[in-house]
Amino acid sequence: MTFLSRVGVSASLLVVAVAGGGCTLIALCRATNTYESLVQNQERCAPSQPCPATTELAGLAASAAAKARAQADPETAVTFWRVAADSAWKGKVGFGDMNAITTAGTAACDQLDAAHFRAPGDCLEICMAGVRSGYDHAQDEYHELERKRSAGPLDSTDLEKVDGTFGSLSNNFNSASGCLEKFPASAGLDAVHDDRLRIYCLATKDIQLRRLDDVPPAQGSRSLEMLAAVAPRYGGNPCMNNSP
Amino acid sequence: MVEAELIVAGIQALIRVGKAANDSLIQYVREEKFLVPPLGAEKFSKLNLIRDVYIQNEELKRRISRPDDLGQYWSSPDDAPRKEPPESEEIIFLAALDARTRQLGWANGVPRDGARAVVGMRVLQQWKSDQLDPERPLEPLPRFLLSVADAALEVVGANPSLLGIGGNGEKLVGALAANLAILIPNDAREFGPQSQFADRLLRLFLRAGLQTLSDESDVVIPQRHLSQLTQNFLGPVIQALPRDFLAQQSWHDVANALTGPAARAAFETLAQDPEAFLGREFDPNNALGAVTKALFAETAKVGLGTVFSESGAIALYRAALGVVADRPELFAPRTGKADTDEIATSLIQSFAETLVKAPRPFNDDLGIQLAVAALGVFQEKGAAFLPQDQNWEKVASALVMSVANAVHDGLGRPDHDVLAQLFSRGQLVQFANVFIEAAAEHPEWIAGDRTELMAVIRAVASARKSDAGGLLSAGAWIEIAREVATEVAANPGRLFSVANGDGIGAGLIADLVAVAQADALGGRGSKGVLFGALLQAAIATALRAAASQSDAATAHRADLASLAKRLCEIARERPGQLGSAEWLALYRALIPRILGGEVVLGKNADELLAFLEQGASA
Repeated sequence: MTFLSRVGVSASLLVVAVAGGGCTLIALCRATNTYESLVQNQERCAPSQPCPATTELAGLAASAAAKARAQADPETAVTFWRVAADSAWKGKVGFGDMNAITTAGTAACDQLDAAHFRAPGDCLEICMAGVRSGYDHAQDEYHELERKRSAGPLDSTDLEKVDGTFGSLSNNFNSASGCLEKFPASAGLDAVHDDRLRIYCLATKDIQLRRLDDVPPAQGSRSLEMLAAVAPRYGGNPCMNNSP
Repeated sequence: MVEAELIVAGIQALIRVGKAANDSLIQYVREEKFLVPPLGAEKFSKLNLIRDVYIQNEELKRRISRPDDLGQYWSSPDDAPRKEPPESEEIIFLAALDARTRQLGWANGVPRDGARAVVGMRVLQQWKSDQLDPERPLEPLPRFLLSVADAALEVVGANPSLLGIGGNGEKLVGALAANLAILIPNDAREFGPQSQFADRLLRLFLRAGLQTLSDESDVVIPQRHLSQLTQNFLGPVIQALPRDFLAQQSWHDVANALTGPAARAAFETLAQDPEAFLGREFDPNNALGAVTKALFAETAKVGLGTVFSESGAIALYRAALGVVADRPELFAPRTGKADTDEIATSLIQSFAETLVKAPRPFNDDLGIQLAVAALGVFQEKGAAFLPQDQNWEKVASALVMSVANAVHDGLGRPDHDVLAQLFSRGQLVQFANVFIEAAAEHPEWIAGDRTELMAVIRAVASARKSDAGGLLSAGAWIEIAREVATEVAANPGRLFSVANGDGIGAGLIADLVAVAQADALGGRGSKGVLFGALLQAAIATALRAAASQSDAATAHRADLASLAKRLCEIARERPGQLGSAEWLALYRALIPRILGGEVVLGKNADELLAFLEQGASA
């Protein structure tokens, strides 16, 4: 959901809230606005410095999850789960917390009837939050391994990490593909396609940390599978063409 | 210098881009538009791409493992392209893209053309991104690449099959591209104003080449031949391009007018017999290039249309290429005398000078047609029959001059109107060529003294001139010329003196024509028969008999003329007994008797007609 649409929804809900006196809706508006504000603050942080917004996002994830669990209305719950999931991702919560949020959020989505899936953006976001979180984690690992690789060949322990990172990214790729299949009508599909491309590109860079002739054939084949999946949309040289 | 392989990939890709995107190519290049989807989180370099494809693609891995292929650009310890040569990364990058796109094409049914387009986009982007100032003109090489692609697209658009895999068109583009790095210095300051011409030459050459190969689609030409032809044709001409402004002006028209047709001639010659033409190894200064350069240079020097018309120049060039194809040894350097360039220049110059000096109407394309025939002689025979001190190209042009002068003299140095009554331009060429063809069969008429040959030509031409009434058609005179040339060649010195050209031959022809003219005075009403086929046969009969007994023929020349006259009289008086067939039969029967000294002319008509029975029974 974009900022403008969120403002529109918030305004509508506020009207209802004033008329009906519902604090839930005010909390929801506050949560989404807070999330957006914190993300903007986070982007202003220097990468090498601790960022208060990240800590606050982790807190927001927990509070939003609590509100989601307390919600009787399935749609409102899903929106809180979405805020919780995105906040958990950007708040860099641990895998366990993230998994708990996305699992519960997915369950909430599953309770929505078909009519509510006409605009399934929140559910797609919940679906992708774990994927994005996993990507960020893999990217951190990659950068660490890359730093070591620039100093010399990686030892066996690091090579195992290379394999682990590739495996994680490969799973993330599959998860993203699953999200695309599960919510084909979502307006956020473009972003998911982009994310999937990003996963592939990082995965292929990851295995390049090895000597090329030592890359396990299975990883080469898997890499090609991922490429074949993104090529119809991004062409035969997708990573370079979309390189920053 | 940019590596040829890079250029080949670039051009082929450009063409494929053009095929796929048609008009968008031009705009695409001009505006440097390049689709860039949303940013990825990680920077992805050419090296990343290369490594990515290396991991995924066995073809690239195999090529990189081969030292004679991409291995020469690859450093295995670094898992990266070598630092030297500097284009190593580009070459492997393009190969990687190519392998990748074809691999995806196979996997996903993406058309090969579409897959290739990716390569072209990358190449374009790379070239354009090299320009620091967007307003700065392209360096020559990229500009030529775009020119070539543009020119190719013009033809390929109408003949898409040209770019089929392994097709001649694809080979030609590849051959041209592979040679570009050699032909064009990639330094604008070094190449200077010549680059405009070279650009034009490339376009014209490629367009003509592709069109010809399209027309000759059933011919399979090896790429190395096309590569040789490209280099040999363009190389010397580009090197000879003038630097100063005035000289450039004279080259401008010539290059525009001749490049396309000359290239077409070269390609057609190649297509007709690839092995004969380029089956041998040629050095860079080979005959094809030398002749091409000589044609351009000489035409530029004298001016197009002054000596050579466009069609005349191309006809001469085509004939010279025939000699190159069949007798390349004629262009081999002459020890201590002339190299291939000088021989080719001498060839073109000699014919140019001949045309300048030749009598009208042989001083234009008519003379070129004689030159073509003369070159055909050397194409067929070689020049082994010539003495060591004679240069074949000068002998060939001298032969043309001799024939032209003799025809001109024999016809009485006619002005345009008179000549038009005797021969059309085409017939005049045929008439003159009869003697060049005869000379081809009897090389002594080429290598040695041509007095006898010229006497024959003068005699027949003179007889033609005397036949103002048209007793014989121009075609019949051409046949008589052939008959005379054959008889004279087979009987040296009998009909015409080898020393001074005198002899019975000219007199016999003149006498028969005179008798025929008298016979025709009364028109058809007088029932005369000595004209047309009969006159032609009578001349041949008399020459054949005189060739065998030239002394007797000389002694009885008047009797032979009288015999013809007497037979004409009988034919008019007794048309029911003597037609043209009987006239000829009697003539054939009585000539040996006259030459044998028998008194025949005193006999009356009945007695002469009685010889018909004897002649028939004999």
